Amino acid sequence: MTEVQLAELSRTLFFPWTFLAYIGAMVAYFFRLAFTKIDREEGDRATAGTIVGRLGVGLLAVGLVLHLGSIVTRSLASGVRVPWGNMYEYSSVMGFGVAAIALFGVHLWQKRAELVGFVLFAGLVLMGSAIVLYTDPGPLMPALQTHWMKIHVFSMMVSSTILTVAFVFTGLYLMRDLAERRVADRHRFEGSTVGAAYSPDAVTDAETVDRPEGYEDDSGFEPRTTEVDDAAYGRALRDAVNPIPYAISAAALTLAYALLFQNPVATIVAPAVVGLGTLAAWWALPYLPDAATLDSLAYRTTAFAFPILTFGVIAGAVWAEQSWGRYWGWDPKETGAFLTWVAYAGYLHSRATRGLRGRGAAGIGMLAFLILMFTYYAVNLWISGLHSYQGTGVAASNPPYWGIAGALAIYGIVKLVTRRSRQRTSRA
Amino acid sequence: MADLPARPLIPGPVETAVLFWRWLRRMRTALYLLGALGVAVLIGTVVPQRPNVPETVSRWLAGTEGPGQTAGQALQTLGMFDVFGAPWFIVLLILLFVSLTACLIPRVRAFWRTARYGRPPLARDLGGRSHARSFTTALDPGSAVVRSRELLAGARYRTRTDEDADPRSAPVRSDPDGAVVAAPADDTSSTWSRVEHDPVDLDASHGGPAARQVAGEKGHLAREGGSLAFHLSFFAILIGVVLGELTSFVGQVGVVERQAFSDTPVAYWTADPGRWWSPSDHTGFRLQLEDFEVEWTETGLPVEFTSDVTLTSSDGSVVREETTVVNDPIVFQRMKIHQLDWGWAPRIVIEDTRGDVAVPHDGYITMTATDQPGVWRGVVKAPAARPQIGVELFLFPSAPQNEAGELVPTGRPQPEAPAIVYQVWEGDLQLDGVQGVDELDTTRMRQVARGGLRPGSSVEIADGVTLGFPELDQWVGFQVSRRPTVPLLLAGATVLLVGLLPALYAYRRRIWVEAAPDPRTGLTRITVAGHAYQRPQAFDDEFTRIVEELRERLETDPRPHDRAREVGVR
Repeated sequence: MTEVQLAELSRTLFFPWTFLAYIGAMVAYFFRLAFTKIDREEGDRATAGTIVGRLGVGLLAVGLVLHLGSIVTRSLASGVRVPWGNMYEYSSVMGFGVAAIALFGVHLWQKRAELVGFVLFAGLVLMGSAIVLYTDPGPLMPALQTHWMKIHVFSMMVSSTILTVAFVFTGLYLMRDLAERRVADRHRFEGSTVGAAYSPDAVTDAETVDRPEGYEDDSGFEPRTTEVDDAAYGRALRDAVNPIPYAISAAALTLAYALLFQNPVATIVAPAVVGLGTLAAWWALPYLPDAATLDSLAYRTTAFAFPILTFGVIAGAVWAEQSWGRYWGWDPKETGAFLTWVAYAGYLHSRATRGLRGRGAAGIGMLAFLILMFTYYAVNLWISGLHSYQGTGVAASNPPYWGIAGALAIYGIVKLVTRRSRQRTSRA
Repeated sequence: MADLPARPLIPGPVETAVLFWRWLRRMRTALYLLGALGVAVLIGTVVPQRPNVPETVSRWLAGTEGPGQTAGQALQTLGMFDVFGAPWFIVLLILLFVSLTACLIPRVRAFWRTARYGRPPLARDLGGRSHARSFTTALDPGSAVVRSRELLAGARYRTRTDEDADPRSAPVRSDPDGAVVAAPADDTSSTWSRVEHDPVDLDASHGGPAARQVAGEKGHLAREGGSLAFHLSFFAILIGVVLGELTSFVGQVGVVERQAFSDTPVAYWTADPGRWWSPSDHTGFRLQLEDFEVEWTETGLPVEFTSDVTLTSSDGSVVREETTVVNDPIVFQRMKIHQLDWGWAPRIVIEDTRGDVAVPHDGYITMTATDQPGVWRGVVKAPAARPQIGVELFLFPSAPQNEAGELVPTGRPQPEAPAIVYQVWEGDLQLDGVQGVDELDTTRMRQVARGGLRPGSSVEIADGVTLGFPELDQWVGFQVSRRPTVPLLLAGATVLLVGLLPALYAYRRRIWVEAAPDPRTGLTRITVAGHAYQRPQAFDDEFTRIVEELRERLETDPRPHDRAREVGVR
């Protein structure tokens, strides 16, 4: 097969086949989410959910194989080199990593199949960005043909992938925590005995103390002992949160990043899709694990990625010293990576700071992920420097600044409005 | 009430210093400072920085690029075009390091004390703890405790039994802001984590008289030690960077093929010696560029750059022939030589009626790349000619001739059909002012000739003056550097990484084993309790495993008098 044919095969495998497989898997996992957790009384639905769940696993496995095929053929089409030499390849491999973590890490290892749909969703968004950034394969620039480049880029890619998964957990935690708190508050005020059934910290196993990860001993966390009426509690969770403002703010932030691509399809599709994903998270609130578990998962995932990120930054300095004779030049890509590292270090510190544990730390975690995405997308597509990836296929520089400012303004306004209304209801 | 000291409304200098020091020590302050650092780095990432891209900064100031001229001027006033060299950035870094120091001093002291003297405290009410298991054994409490201690010590727990008392160190605890302070001598509240411990009154626990206990702790030294190593390595990096800036040298020079340069203070096009670098630190070696090759793909992308050089030490004793490619620098006499830049170097000869006119660098013009691919630009100045001559050259490595005899540049970078396009001016070069090598000020000159030229040909540009283009060579930009502190930086980075792993994954946990004799049955009741300060899920498995091992050790080891009891003789 010629290199051109291999490139074509790689592209077709990626889009649409891998996409379709992942989308099918994601839909199957969401379906399974709805029909195997609650409604245990309805035996038929439970069976349907299990079957669809297995189909989801199968589709995800098929998708991984197709995706791997796309990556390998792409590597062959570029003269047999590591498959992460430009933004398209990097985003594609990141999507592959996220999907692989979804299957092997989230489902098989941590046994949290209810979260796989959301992790896959994040992977699909990354892969969507890959399509927009597609370029034909070619050899690497000489400055990129060194072992340390491979080590550095691989480490950054792996850590970014894991941090994307952590971001999904953090986002789900924030929404679930908000819902749980509101349900608890509502029934504390109402004082009815019915409220006892809505105990927010329910767990069936009184023996195990599922204390959140990383909390020091005196966090005041108590073991939980009461059972709960799942279906009623689930409905209460959904009622407690209005998802529209969150969907809008998430879409606004996504729009700010999507405008960097200067691609009309991306500008419309990405924010819409992320907004829908936020709505899906709200809909799935009853099926998610409790907030403390989600927070623990988010922390453990970030803590796992942080040493890899640290190593990646160090490896980048070694590569820079070898290739350009200086280990740190305050180049935008270097400062962006350093900024990301500082942000995640801030997240880890905030977990040990009284008053910031829980929601505050999670907020910092979300911000840190936005900074990671900034380092990846904004620095490459907008800010040029020694580190710019060649051949992004996108008009570099001068994105629509007013559009980005507008998107950020929308985000700010929505946040202000929700904060105002939250203060109003808590005063009532 | 009367015991409260009167505090002035405005704190005096000493009190301010103490308050500032306490504020700096808090974790929250570290977060604020990290946040400020983050904002500064974000600005430095988005706004072009003058040390990196001075031309971009000029364009921002002029308003041709970026947010416009007013915004550019505003950024200039605020010093945003050089964030990382700005004084306030340095102050921020200093504050961060002071905060780090303020936090580390008490923690290092506490760590040292714990490592040397600290042993875990005994506990009350083991049965009420979150992890608790009980079983019986026929051993007497004393032996049970001794064996339990052996087991725990074998699993690398630091242990204490109720018979140990170590009065050497004072109790410590963490206060709400995360700082470690010493306990007042008479405070016995349970929030204190006592490094040293008065004997617990075990009569008050459910163990009853003659109950024995052993306490073990593991993981604290690893976790805290890792965290301390991680944070201390920042100081190594700081020293490495600051000392490195002072003692380093970086210089750049361009060398045309078959020419040479020597490592002396004046040989470099740009030189950046550290403050403590002296001219005698130069080794004086000579580098001769024998040959330079560029390998291209069909589509015009460079695949490899190769320079063959001969290096001779200053006294002639050492001669090495080396080949350097990208990412593979040469190290010679502790100087690192990188091949960083390259260009075309056409040789231009200007002759007038009297003979050759002196042209700088023996006529080899180092052309620099322009924004357009396949177009290179250079300037020739002949101040010795009368009148003075200046030539602006554009080199097209690939410019074949079409049927009409015109040069058609293709934009390809491979030297398939090189040609130069020249514009010649005569007049006053205005060299008495400051002028860049690539600048040609034609305000006092008039253009006398234009045209194209292939290598190996010459053309008459004015009366009796010819411009010749005998050959086309290439030049390589070498960077010569020495950074003595790079090993220290690498060591610091390694310690940072290595310390991070236990700081995140080791966890402090305690296990207590209490052996209480049961007077009714004559057996001993063993209660095992455990507590993990972090990572509770990981502790579940470990606790279960320890309990199983204890069970094995204490239950299944028969002794003559025990066996008699097991059989149920009495």
